[in-house]
Amino acid sequence: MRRLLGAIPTLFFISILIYGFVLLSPGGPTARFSMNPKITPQALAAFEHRWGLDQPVPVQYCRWLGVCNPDGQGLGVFLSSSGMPNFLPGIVGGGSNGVLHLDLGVSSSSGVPVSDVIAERFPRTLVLAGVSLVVWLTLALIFGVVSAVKRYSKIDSAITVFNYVAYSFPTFWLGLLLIVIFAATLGWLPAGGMWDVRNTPIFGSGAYWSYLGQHPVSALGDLGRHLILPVATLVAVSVAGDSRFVRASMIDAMRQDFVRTARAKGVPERGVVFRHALRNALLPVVTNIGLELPFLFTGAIATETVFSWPGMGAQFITSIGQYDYPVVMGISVITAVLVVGANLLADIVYAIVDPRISYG
Amino acid sequence: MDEIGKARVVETPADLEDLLAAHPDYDVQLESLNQRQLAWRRFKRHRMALLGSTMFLSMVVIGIVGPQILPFDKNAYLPTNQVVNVGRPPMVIPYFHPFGETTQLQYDVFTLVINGIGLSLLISVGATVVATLIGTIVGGLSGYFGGWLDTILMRIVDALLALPLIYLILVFSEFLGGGNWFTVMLIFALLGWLQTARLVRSVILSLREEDYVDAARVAGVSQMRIIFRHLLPNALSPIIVAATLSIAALITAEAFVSFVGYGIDPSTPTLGNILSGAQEAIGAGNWWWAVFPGVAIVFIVLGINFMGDGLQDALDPRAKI
Repeated sequence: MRRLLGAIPTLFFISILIYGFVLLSPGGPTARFSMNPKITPQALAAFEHRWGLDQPVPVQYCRWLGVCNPDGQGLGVFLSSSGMPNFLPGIVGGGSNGVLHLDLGVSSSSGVPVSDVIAERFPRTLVLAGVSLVVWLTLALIFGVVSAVKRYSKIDSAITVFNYVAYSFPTFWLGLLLIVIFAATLGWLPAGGMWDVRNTPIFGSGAYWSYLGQHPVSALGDLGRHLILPVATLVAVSVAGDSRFVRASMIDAMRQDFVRTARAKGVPERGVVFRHALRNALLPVVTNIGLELPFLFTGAIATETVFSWPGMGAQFITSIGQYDYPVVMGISVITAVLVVGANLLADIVYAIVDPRISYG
Repeated sequence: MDEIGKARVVETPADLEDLLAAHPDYDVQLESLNQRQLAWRRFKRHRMALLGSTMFLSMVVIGIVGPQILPFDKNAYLPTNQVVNVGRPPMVIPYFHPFGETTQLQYDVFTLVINGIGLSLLISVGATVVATLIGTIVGGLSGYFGGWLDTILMRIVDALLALPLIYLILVFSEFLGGGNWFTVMLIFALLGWLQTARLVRSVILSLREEDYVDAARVAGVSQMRIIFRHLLPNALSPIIVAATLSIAALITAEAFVSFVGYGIDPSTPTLGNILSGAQEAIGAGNWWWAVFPGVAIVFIVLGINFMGDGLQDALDPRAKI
C-alpha cells in the first residue's frame, strides 16, 4: 500500500514533465495551424481560446490533468459542474475533462479523440508484446536452465556466445536483416504490416472479427505469418540478457545446501533441478522480468517502425513527425503509467513469491 | 650493496623456491602488488576482455585514422560517365568499393562506414564522459545526504526513466537547436546520467555505513572531503563498468534515433544515418548498404560488452587472481 502511494508523486512528476516538454516543443500546440496561410490570426486566437491556450500555464496544466474544470470561475475551477471536487471520477460527481478522466484531447492531424486512437492501436501492440513475452520467457528459462545444469559444456558455450552476440544487436538492425533475408531475398514471409490487405479486413474492425469467426484458420495463419519476424526480433535481444540472468541465478541455487540435501535424500536429478533449484532461482528472475516488461513497449517502437506494425510505437513516431502533440502526449502518459505499474507489480509479486520480504 | 635488481613477479611460494634455487645469490625482499596492479593482472588474464578491448580499440583507431585517409565529402559526385544510378554490390575492380555502393548518389559504403564509426564513437564516448560525471555527482549527493534531497532527486530520475527516450530526445533537440553531432551528444549526456546516478547512490548508501567513514567523520574531516576522498574512490569500479557499457548503449541509441530521422542531420554519415538511407534500398535487393554499417555497430558493441565483463571481474578485489 505504501508502495502504491509512493508511485503517485512519480506519476505527478511525469505528468509535469510531459506537459512541460510540449510547451518547449517546436512551435507549441498550434504549430500545425500557424503554418497554414489560410488560417487567419483571428481563427488562431479563437482556436486558442476554445482549448484554453490563452490561459496561464498552471491553469492549462491543471485543466489538462483534469483537476480543474474549464467552465469554473475563481476558486470554483476545482469543482465540477455538480459541485464535487473535479478530480473525482464522473460517477461520484467529478468532472469529465483531463487525463484523470481518460480524456486525452483530440488528435490535431486526424481530428479523432486521442483515446480512440490509442484504443485502436493498443490491442495491436498488445498482440505483438504478448506473443513476444510468452516466447521470450519460455526461451530464457530453457536456455538459462540448460546452460546452468550443463555448465561449461559445449551447449553452454554455444548459448553464451549466442547471448553475447544477440545482446549486441541493435533491435532495428536485426529487424532490417531479417527482412533482407526472409522477405526480400527468400520471399517466405511478409516484410511488414499486420494483415494481408488483399483479403483480410483491418485488424480490430467489426469486419475482422466476423472474418475471424468464418475463416479462423486463414485469419490466424495470416496473423501468425506477419508475427514471426517482429517477434523474433523482439525476442532475440531480450532473451539474450535474461538467459544469462537465469543461468547465474540457477547456478547460485544449485550450490545451496538444500540442493545437496535433496540429492543426498535420493531425489532424482530432474526433481532436484525443477522442484528444488528452479523454484528458488526464479525469485530474482521474477523481479528482473517485472523491470524489463516496459521494454516490450519501448522496444516495440523500434520493431514496429521497421516492420510497419500498425501499433502504438509506430503511431508515436508518425505523430512526432506530424507535430500531433495530443497523440504524442497521450501515448507518453500511457507508456509512463505502464512502466510505473510494471515496477510496482514486480515489487508486489516479489513480496508474494518470497515470504522473507515484507514491505510492512 | 644497495643495488636493487629488477622486480620479478612470483605467483606461488613454489615459484619463489624455484627462483631462489636457480639464483642462489639473490637477496629477496617481498613486496605485494597494489590494487591497481592486481586489477591489471586480472584483466590481462581475462581472454574475453583482451579480445573485447582489441575489437574496441581497433575500431577507435579506424574511427580516428580512417576519416583522415578517406574523408567523406557529401558534395563529391561521380563523373557522369561512371554514374549508373543503381547501387553496385561490393567489388574491388574496376572501382574500389569493398562494401559496395549506395543507390542514387552512389557513395562508397566503405567511406561512409569509416566516417560513421568515427562520428558515432565520438558522440557516444563524449556523452558518456559527461553523463558519468553528472550521474556520479547527483548519485553521490543523493546517497550521502539522503533526506528530502534524495527523495526529490530520485523522483526526478524515476520520472525521466519512465518516459520513452525518443520523446525526450526530440524535444531536447528542438530546444537546443538540434541537428548537428554536438547537440545530439549534449542531449545524450543530459539524459544518460540517470542510470549512473541510481547506481552511485546505491553504492554510496552501503559505503556510508562503513567504519572508516565513521572514523573520518569523528576525526573532523569535512563532508565534501569524505564524499570525494573516502566514498567515491571506493565506488569507482562499478562506475567504470557502467560507463563502459553505457558507450555501447549510446552507440545503439544514436543509431536508432538517426534511423527514424530525429537525430543528426541526414547528410552527416553516422552509422544510424547510413542505415536510415539504406532502408528503402533493401526492397531492391541492395543488402550491402544495410549490412556493413550494422556489422560495424555489432562489432563495437560486442567488443565493449566483452571489455565490460572483463573489467567487472578485474576490478572486483574479492575476485581470485
